[in-house]
Amino acid sequence: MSALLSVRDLAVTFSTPRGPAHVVGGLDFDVEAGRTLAIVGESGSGKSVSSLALLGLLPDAVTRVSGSAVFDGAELIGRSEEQLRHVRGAGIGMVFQDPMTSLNPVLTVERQLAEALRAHGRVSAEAVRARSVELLDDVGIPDAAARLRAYPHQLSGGMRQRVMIAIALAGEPRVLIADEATTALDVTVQAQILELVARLQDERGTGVVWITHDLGVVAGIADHVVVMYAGRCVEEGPVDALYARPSHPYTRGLLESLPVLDDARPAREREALTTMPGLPPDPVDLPPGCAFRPRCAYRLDPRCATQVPPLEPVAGSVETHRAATFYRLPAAGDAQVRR
Amino acid sequence: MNGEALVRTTGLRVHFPLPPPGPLRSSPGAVRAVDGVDLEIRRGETLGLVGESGCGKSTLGSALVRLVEPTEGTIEFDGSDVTAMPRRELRALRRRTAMIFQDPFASLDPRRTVGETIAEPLAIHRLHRGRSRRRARVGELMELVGLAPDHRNRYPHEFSGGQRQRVGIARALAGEPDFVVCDEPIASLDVSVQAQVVNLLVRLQREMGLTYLFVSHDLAAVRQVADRVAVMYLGRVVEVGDGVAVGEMPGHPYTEALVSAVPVPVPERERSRERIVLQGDIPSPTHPPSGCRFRTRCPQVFEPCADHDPVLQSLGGRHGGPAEQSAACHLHGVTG
Amino acid sequence: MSAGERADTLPSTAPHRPRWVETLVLLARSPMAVASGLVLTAVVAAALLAGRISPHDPVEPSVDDRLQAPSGEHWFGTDELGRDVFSRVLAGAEVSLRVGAVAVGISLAAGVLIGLLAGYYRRWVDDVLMRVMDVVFAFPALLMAIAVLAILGRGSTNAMIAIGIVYTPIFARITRASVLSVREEVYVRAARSAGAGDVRIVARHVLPNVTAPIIVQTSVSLAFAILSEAALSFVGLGTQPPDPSWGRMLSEGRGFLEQAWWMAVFPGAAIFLTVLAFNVLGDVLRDVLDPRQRAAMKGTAKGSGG
Repeated sequence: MSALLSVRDLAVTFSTPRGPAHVVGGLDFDVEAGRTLAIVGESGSGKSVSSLALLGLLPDAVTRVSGSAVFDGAELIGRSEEQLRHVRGAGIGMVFQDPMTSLNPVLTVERQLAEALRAHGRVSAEAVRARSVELLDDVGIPDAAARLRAYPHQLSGGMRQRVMIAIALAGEPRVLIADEATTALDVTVQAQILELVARLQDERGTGVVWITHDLGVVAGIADHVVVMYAGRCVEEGPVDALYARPSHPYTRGLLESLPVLDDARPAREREALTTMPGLPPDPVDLPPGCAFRPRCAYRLDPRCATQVPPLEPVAGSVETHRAATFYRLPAAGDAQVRR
Repeated sequence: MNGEALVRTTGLRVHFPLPPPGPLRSSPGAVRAVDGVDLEIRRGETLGLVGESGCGKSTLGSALVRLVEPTEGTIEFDGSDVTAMPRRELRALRRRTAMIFQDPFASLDPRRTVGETIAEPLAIHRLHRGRSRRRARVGELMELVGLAPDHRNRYPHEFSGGQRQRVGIARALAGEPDFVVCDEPIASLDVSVQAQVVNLLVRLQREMGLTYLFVSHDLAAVRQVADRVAVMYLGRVVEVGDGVAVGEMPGHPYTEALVSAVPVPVPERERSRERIVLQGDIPSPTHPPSGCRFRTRCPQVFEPCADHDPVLQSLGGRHGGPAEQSAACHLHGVTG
Repeated sequence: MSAGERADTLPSTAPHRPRWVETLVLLARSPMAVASGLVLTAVVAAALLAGRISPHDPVEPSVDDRLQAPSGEHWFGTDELGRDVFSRVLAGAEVSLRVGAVAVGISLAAGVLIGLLAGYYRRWVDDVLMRVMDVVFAFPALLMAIAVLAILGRGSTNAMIAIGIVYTPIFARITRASVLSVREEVYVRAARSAGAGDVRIVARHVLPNVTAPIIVQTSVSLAFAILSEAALSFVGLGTQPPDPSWGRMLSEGRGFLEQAWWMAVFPGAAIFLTVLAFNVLGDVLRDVLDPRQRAAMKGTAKGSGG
């Protein structure tokens, strides 16, 4: 299947008072129709910046974006604001983390939906209203016609996020980018939203980019996973292969450091959680070689200090599973993560 | 662990009155953040308190260290009623209780060095008096939480989130408290740092024999640290008991939904799990539903739920285990 | 302790400096702040040294030298009584600054105290204090000062008190607004949970965190106080003859604008420069003391300084 959105060698550099900050480098990924790509990383890993860069949503004055991002046969990088505006919404919809600050507090839901619909060509008032009700229905908001007149503060967090999704869907995008879209929500509400996105994806064949730090959510919804650290992809692969055989020390560290819900032992009988020492590096002052080296427990190869390890296929895993590390896992049996 | 209660609440209510009625609101009312909680926290244990935003778990934690005033009911600490304690005694109590806050950026005074912050409880309670003794104690505390003592003169903005949380922990432990409320202590930290702080809290508890109330929305983290778990919904404790029992065999439909909604980082298991997706939103804590508060969203709602307010009843080691567990649900026999 | 649990070492930042030193360093980088600093230093020096450096007696009339244009002998000319305008401007600096400083001192002390009490205790304390402040604030400032002087009697001491009263509500409001937000900060809750009493919380946590807007307001208010003193003296209620004050000199010079422009222009210029300098300094302080701006400014410093 050919990709809806194909990103190659994406790099983003911010100019900061302290010097250039390399927040994203050498990033490749593909988004396919009806599939979910998860981009996983911690704050500062570049996971959000990369998607903002695609849509030209970073401040031009301080940002340099290079590489290529082809959507629907057209290059996005370097396009004018005017051209990108057509892509946003109609081609690629976006949902952000905080539904309270992404909605305008002084406009009703209807006004905000209408704005999105008009931007994509619907003009008659009746058509806009009918479509708005339909969209709210679609995202599971009960009593949609009445909710149109509500202001954002009159809605719960889950409802606001549904409204955001409705707005993102107004232009019938072919790719939906969700940036920590459920992070601010409670788990039971998150479950509702995840279910909703899965359903919409099934119905419309939308390609989804799910940006998150939550490896649990990723396990449930992703087809393909990209793990980012210090602006680079350190490991990627089909979700099952990647979780079965996490091959970059960072991915392993992340997975091992999570407390386990379905461990039947009482707290006092459990081992301490595995930890990774240290902090992610400063993007203005990246260490030479592998950016993860200072925190890495396996930094044995002399190249770790001098070369950025390339993404290479993981031995013993599927072909599309690649990791950027000089460390080679021992035989498959030992590679299982504790759990 | 099955020791006596260090903290016990009886019929505890914390209501926040809404502004008086005006042109926009017809009836006055109150946010019933905590609305009738009977709970005991035993000496030396970690009681995990889980629930979703707005359920009142943080308010309950704040009430236990007397940061908010109870509206009704009593709080006993170490056998004595502290609800109506005079100021002077309250101050002495405050040496024995402490709180660790969620946001490590907001909980440290930006104008004071971390050394000054950690030393504050010492100054308040006149402990380790004298410049050099206090300095030594601050150094000791910093070592204890994994900070370098020579960073004592630095300001909070020079530290990372995880390190700031360590400063907050050192401050909480400075007065050698018996009881510590950890209010979402890892929620604002990056994933790779959360484990460090969880391990630190667990180690400190074991070394110092502390009693914790570990407030969190993260059930997996709570299971990692808590001996017993209490689940809150809309101002009430709906289930409480042994951590394994509550986590593995929930006795309340809400707990069940909560457990099923927590994502597990194992793809095949996560995809095949039967998830109970609750419908609708949490009702307003100003006007909770009649009878069982969970009934408006409960997948197993039946006749008595609307009329009878269920009370916690012991499930008496179901499934043959000795585990202690109680739930407030009519499915185990109509109460209330 | 396991190695993994140990907190990471701090990134090696520049050796840390006390905040106020950092503030001075940042101020020194702003040309505007340096310029106003120079002006104000000159004014303060003039005020302090007036007695020693003035070429002539500022008060003693000298009939022979009446209304002389600026010259090598009399740099700013002389007034209708033959007094040296330059010497009088120097002496006036002392009066203007003293009145400004004392008046602002009064409103600062009273306003900050009222604002702290109102913002920290809320409820009836807040209602009572702030309603009183509203009443004071509702009067036009100069009219209020004139009313106060009408009660206390004219003279520069009473002018200080009057101006002090007039500017108290501004400080009270600014302080109260900041206190309202700071008292809700988590670190204040943290201090309270540790057992800190009100006095400790206010002195150690609230006050230090509300200083920035107060410092800015102080600088701006100094400018207004000097203007007010000039205005009061202009209408004859402030500094009394024969003492020189910029406002008085302006008032006296008004009658001679056509014969002797220098009598009004030089004190006027002194008022203008001093007020401008205080205002500019206030603006720069506002930026320097704003944590977000501050971070950006420090960044620039690091970048350019290597």
